[in-house]
Amino acid sequence: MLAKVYSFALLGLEGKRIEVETDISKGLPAYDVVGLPDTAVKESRERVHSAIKNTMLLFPNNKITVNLAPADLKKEGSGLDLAIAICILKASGQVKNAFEDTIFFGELALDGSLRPVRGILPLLISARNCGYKKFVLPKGNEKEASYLGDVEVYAAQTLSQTVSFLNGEGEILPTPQTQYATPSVDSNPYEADLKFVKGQIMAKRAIEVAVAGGHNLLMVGPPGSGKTMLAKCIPTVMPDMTFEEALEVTKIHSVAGVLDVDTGIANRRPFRTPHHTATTIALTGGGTHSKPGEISLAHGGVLFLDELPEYQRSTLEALRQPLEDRVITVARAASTVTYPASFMLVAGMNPCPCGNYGSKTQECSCSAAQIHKYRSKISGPLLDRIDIHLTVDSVKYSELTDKTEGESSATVKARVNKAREIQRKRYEKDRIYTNAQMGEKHIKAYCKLSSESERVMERAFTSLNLSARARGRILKVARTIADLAGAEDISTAHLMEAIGYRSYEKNNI
Amino acid sequence: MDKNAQRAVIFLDSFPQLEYKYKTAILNEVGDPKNLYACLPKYRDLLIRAVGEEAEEILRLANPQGEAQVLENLKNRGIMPITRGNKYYPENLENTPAPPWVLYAIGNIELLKNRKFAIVGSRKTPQAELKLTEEFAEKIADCMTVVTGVAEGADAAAIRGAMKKNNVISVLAYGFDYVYPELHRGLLEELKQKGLVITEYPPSVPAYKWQFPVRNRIIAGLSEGVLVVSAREKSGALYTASYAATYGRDVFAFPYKVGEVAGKGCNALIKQGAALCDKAEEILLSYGFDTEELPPDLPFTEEEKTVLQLLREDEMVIDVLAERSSLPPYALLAALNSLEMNGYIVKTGADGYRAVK
Repeated sequence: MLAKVYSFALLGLEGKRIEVETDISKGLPAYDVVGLPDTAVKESRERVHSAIKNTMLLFPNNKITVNLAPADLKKEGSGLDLAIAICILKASGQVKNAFEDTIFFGELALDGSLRPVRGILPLLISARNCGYKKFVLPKGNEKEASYLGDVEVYAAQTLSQTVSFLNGEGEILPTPQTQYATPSVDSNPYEADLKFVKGQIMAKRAIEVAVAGGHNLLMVGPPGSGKTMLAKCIPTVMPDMTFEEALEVTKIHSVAGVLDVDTGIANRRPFRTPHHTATTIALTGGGTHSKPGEISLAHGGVLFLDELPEYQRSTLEALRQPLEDRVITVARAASTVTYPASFMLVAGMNPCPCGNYGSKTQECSCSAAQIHKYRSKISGPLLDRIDIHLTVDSVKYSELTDKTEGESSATVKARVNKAREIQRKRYEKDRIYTNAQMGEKHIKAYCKLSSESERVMERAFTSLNLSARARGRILKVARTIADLAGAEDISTAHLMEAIGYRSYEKNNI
Repeated sequence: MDKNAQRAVIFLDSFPQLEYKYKTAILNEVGDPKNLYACLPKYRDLLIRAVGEEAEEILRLANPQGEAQVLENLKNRGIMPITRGNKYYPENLENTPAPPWVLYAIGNIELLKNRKFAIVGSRKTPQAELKLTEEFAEKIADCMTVVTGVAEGADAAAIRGAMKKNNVISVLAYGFDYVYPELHRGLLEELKQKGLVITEYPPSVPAYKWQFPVRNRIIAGLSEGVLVVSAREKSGALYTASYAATYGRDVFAFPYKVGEVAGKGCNALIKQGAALCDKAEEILLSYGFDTEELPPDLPFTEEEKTVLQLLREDEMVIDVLAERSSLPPYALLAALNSLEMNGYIVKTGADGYRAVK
């Protein structure tokens, strides 16, 4: 007998419809899976066999052929287990109804229980776009699937529960839809908060400006000066994620298998800190299955690269294109996949190899040549994409014990939201969203300086040895500072502050 | 010395193995260098004592053809040799006990005719003093040519400042075939375009350690005064200062706080009688240049006034400043940057500031 059941398999962030066909014919007992399955899919044979047997159902003692169509698409992962099992049971007459409109997802355990699979959200979205409304999936994926509207989701614990549901003997209640709740303004879903950071007023202000304008940030300071702590506070002042943004982030995290099963949706902005031994592939994504890399996992949030010069140079250079395009295309022999990668780059580094250059308390033991070499590990084009350069120093003891609390992240976030709103309005026709994305054309149009400010700029260049490239960066940052102040034009004071976040010039050793 | 005599001196100077004292001995014995080639065989024994087997080589080349070869070689590299007695050879240097016989120069040699002032210091000069050095150099370069070395730290800062006025001479401690420190290859090229680079060593002499203090006698010798911007207890800059004192030139030094390592040498100089220097205008005044302090580009804002007043009391880090001035961060940062740009305060580290005016 022949039977057919539908499922979806992942290709990047998209789901592709898979037709699972099973034919049971007379002959010596055999069981084959064809249709370009990868190892995990091939191994489903054994899982499906044991699961059916241990569910007290009958595994047909005939020649069984399972085909996964389209036959030329490489299928991966264990999510097709349930569909294959249902299809075999259907072919052997143990599942009676047709269920052509139902999509099955789930990995089987040997005892017949269902295990969650990765990528449920993108799979469901793709299936819904194809017109499917009914889904049977593991209980462990229920929360994630519940955020999607306009679908019927049935979450099953075991294979036997699924079978009795399909045969109309048992009942599974459809999962109610969960409404995405934007965290209220005062609540802070993160562990970090700016109010716990003592002192460092310059760094805090720089973070506010960076987030408000979407600027990338470089923090230079000795070990123990709080770079990591400051970086962790950055997501706390970023605007709350909209449902669309959250879905997008969840899709990526789901595909990568790093989603929190209990919440089922990424409602906090990601903060990713790959170690400096990370390979280029780990950062950009790739591998045989073209999995998303760290930069895609940081989509919508912060990618924090501590000890920037310690990363391999080629790895850092690979960041340049996604920083510009905000997407990354991973091309592999098997498939070409595009992942979103719109993240805020926050980098930390020591001022010199020993870490004490410029410190008042410790003496630096590095020669000028060593320092130069250390700093030149970061290429000019990459530095050009980082608008705000900030030096931080260790906090003195007297400040650490200071009892007064600084501003909370929520207060700063309110100001950031306002500045972002101004930018959204201004760039409505320009197809950009933030000041950091401005090109030459936009800078000319939106960063006009008064003659007095123009003089200040000129003076800054001569007295501070700024490079010509610094000009554009300073103007963009000045624009953000003006937006934070709600000002129409860039004033001299705005410009003055922007000059303070000037490039970390290499030649001034 | 006439042209021919000068050419003969350049020929003899082209052998770096021949030490200064032997060179001087031979040239003094010969009297008029024009007769060098005729007389040189007489000093074979002296030459052998000085350079060993190389003596034969020197004698073989000691003729107008050999001389032409040496001059051709220098010309091809764009090096101008300036001998004692040449109109460009600085009188100040001539009046020192051991003036170099030849100065090899690339760049604007007219600068040698100007009045000159040296700025020297340690390679590890603190950030704040570097900034001041640059500022002082720029001001001094308005009136006098700044003389310095080409090392990192103080030298580079002095060059950066004075190069804005294209009025700087760098004295190397090695020949033009070499570059040290490698880091300053670009800076040296720029100097050759905008200023002047000189050395007493023919092109083939590498940078040996012991040549640096020897070179310092030229820096001191060229200049009417020396400003030491930073010096540890033992520092090359102190050699320059002591040469300057011996030659009867003025010595100025930046003052440092008690116990600050980077300035122990400077404070020691002041103790010995060097002039404490905290204003470029004062240095210039002592050489007869009456320059006025320029008023700030912008009128002070209220915030700037508050910040400057606080910093004049004591050096402070930004967090303390914020607390004591009660200014919001953005206003404070704008005020600090404005004051820094106008030269009223300098950064002393990642987040420290000090008033300098």
